[in-house]
Amino acid sequence: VEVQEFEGFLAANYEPVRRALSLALCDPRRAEDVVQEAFARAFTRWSSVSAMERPVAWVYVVAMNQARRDLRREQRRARPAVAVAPPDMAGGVATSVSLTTALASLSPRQRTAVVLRFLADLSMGQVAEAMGCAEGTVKSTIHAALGRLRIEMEEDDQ
Amino acid sequence: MSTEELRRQLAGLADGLPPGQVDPLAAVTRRVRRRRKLRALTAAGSAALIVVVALVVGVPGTRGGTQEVTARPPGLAIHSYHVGSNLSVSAMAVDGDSVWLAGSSTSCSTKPCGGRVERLGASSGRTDPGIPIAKDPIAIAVGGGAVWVLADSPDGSPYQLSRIDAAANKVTLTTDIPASHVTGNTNPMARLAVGAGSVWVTFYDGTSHLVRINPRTGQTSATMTILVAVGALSANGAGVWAAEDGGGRVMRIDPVTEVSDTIDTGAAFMPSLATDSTSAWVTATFPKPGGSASFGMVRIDSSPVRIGLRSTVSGYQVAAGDGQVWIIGYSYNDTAAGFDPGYVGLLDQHTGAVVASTHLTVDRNGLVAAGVGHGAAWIVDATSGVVTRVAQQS
Repeated sequence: VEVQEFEGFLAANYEPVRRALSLALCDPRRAEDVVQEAFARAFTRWSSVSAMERPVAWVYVVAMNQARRDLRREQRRARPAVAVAPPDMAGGVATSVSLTTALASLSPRQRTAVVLRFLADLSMGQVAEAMGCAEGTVKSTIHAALGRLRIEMEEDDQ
Repeated sequence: MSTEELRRQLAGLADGLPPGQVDPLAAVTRRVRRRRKLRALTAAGSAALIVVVALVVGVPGTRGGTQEVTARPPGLAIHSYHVGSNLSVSAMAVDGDSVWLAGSSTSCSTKPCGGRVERLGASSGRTDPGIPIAKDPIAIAVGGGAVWVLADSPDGSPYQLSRIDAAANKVTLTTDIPASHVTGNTNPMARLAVGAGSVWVTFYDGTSHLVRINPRTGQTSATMTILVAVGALSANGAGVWAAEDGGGRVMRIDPVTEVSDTIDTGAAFMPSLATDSTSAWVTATFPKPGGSASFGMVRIDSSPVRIGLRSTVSGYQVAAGDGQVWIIGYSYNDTAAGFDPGYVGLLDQHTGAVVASTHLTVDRNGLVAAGVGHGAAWIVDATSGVVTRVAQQS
């Protein structure tokens, strides 16, 4: 029964989580990797995860934590210096002058916070946990991001 | 646009992404099996392995709060400093031998924790005890022998400006920014700069306001309505410079006449602005026909206000000071369809070319601020709490 229940959870949530993290991380391959890992962890402790109020929020937090760990591990590896001018930084992202471009104009932290809050629908506390920072920092990050996007925040988003 | 509309548009954007390339159930099942195998192997050999690794490699340690964690590439030296583990950094400013970090406290006995400012000694790599700030810091700037912190709290109260005596390491003045408030996030954008003899604060409540504050008394000496919603703010001897949020205009306000000059760079976005002694530098995204975009940097000179240089070097953050201009950015990798690790580059200020660059060991998701001081670029990674110093090797 548990396996069937998990399969249903996976079928319903895998694609939305993968797509949200692809936007948040701007890195579809990394998103796919960390989302698979997070769902695998969810399966191995499904009895406790399924008892949570919103199991998919746990998956988001675990996936984002994994992404951060992976990035840190990669950055710890010594890299040789390069003495050439760097190429365009986001040529593949800013493909239309619309929300895509507007999102590309946000800092990575702002984009992650906005996607987790307004696409993944995580609470401020869950976004803070996923991003590894204080809730107050998430609030000010989202405030700044919405200001940049010219969006008025509603009372329940504060 | 409302947040509901944002939710709808984000959902549409996510729906428009290409579908995943693998069967989720098969992929997750493989990982579960691999985890179980690993766990079985690890249980048998982990203890012995840990002892051997510790004996051969040694355990990395810290000394005086400082840890060098990266290699030294030719030409540029990189040092990393771990700062307080319970500070979530949101802003940074560099001045002489001090790197000032402002952020929210992540541990305290009462909630909300409020904010804190910490000083990292550029020479010593040591941090002083933190200075508490009542609200959450959103910006920090240094000038006139003091450190200034702009903070807010989404409770209807005004933005708050605090002055820290750098020598005494304590808050000596706190003042509210008149007519500003954060209720309902009607004015979520505020920026701070110190220069030209004043402290400057911008905030946006449908109209963009520039407030000039006397650094000695904390009193507001002028309030101006300005044309551009400000995304980035900086000040130098030529005045206060504001980069338009979501547009390409840069405004310079003369500190004597308080008259503004505005110049259009043609950019669609300008993620950051920094000033050296006479000019302003912006990183910019330029729209191209068909909806794509190109990236570059623009230098705006002050006498007269005009575009002095356009460079095709792309970067996300620009930092200037000590006669140096640095860029920090992340390259997009078409093959991997994602961002490569970041880079930091030192600019030739006359040609706009990168004269030295190296990969940057800073989490792209954590980059919150960069500054120049003590002959180096300083970059904060809020995710890991690491401050990275990049300098030319002598």
